[in-house]
Amino acid sequence: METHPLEIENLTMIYGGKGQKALSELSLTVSEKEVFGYLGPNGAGKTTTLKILVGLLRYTSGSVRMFGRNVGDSDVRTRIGFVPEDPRFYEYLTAGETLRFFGRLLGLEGKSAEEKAGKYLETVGLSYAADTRVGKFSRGMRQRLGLAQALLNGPDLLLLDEPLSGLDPVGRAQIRDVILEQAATGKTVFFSSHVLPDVEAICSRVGIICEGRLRESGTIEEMLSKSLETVEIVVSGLSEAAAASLSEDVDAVRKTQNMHVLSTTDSGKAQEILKRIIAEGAAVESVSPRRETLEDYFMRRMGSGGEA
Amino acid sequence: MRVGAIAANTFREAVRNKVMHAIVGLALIVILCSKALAWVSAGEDVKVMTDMGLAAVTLFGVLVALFSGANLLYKEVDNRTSYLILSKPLRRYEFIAGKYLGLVLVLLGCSVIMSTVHAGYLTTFVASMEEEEVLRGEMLRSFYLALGQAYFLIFLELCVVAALGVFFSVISSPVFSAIATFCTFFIGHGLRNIKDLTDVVESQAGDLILKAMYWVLPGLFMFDIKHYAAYAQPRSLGTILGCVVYAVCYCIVILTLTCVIFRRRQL
Repeated sequence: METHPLEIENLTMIYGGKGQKALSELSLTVSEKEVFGYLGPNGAGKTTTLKILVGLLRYTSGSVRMFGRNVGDSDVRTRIGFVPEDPRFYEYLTAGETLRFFGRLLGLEGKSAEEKAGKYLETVGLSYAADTRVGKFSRGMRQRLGLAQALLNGPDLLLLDEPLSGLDPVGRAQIRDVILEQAATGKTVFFSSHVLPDVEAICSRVGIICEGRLRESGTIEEMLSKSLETVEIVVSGLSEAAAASLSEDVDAVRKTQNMHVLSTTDSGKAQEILKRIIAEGAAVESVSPRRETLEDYFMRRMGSGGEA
Repeated sequence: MRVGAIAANTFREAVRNKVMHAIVGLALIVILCSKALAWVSAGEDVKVMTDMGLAAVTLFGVLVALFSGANLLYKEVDNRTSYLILSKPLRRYEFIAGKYLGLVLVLLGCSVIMSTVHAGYLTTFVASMEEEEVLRGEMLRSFYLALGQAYFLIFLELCVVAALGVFFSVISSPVFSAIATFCTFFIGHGLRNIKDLTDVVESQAGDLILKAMYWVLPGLFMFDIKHYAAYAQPRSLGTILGCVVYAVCYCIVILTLTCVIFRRRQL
């Protein structure tokens, strides 16, 4: 029987004391070598899902299997690497000591743990801080160290909860590259994030969760191919009368300080509009076909109450 | 190996903790000051120094157990350091076992330091005594044997107190945990009197409550042989072994309960 790195079926999680439903009959499957983006607004249930996957939370009903084994089986965790949102470490340990400590928890012996600690500190760009106590680390540095400890055992499945939050643009690019490298070597990545452009750049498939329910899932191409394309034409020197006349044939006209931005969803009509602009004696500054981004798509779905 | 890694890390945390240094430092000062009290004790110098030193080793050892034990699991959960550790192939009972073993190592280290300084100080004092007052021969051997037994039983008592601290830390805040552990320590020393009380209490409910307390709370009085050490009266091997068995069994029961509670805990 084929086993997937991650199979979730009808997962429901109700927090005991409050009786609050955090997840409701959530089902999803992540296939081997897939980079799966897990999207949702705050409080949607993303972190709850990830905590269940690593055994920090016990779920109410449903089933969660990783590599065909129940999530409660601690041995399955030899095959995963987990980075929680805003990872915390022992502040009295240095970065090197921290990784050696996690190495020992993963069964790595002295020299092997030492070598891997050095290797993965370099991978995440923290070699220079190997002997610095983690208590002095910024959030971004802790985030990188979190990723380094998740890579120590060469996991088949990486579970990442907001791994790019708190990082500066350089750090984000660096961590994004590490994740892409892992994906390129055949690892499966389950990745929750608010940073939608990063999800779009990294993930092959995404799932959108809202109020504990999976609203939609599919490849980014599938989701965005259903959406409309827009052509944006930026024009300078267009008279108000010409702009008013053109506005009847385009979907929207925006006026900036000394330019007009005309948008149309009809790419055929764009050609005709361009001719009319030139005939009016105005200058075309740019023409850019704009495809709906994942962020636009996400905002649109959330705006419509998340109903799929 | 995984339990060892957690234990070694718990020990390292304590070694790097300045509060721990302060507690042990204060204990050594009190031990070294015991001679001042001995001067006003009219010829009972060695007894007073022994009694006071052993009391200091116990008291400061309990402080270490309270300070470390009460925070042990609460801090891991509150600071979220447990998230990364428990996402590794580590069972929750292994985590508890590692944390507790680390704490026992800390207590062993503290006990060895305090006991060594106390025994060394006593030895120096005995060596400086007038010839007619000096403990010698069999008496001296008995004195050191009883002293060694007292140190060992104090360590066992600290292990029991630490297990209670870990238990309370999994169900409550550090402050409540420290208070509950200290109260249990206090009552545990008076438990012998509670048993005697059952003979005089007339109410059936009162009798039941006292008996329950006697069986549930730790009988820490049995580890207290300071008085015997001060009078150079070593306890029998059977008594010492009885204490070992009691301490081990009590710790196993308490830690098993801790594991059951922690296993069900949503993190």
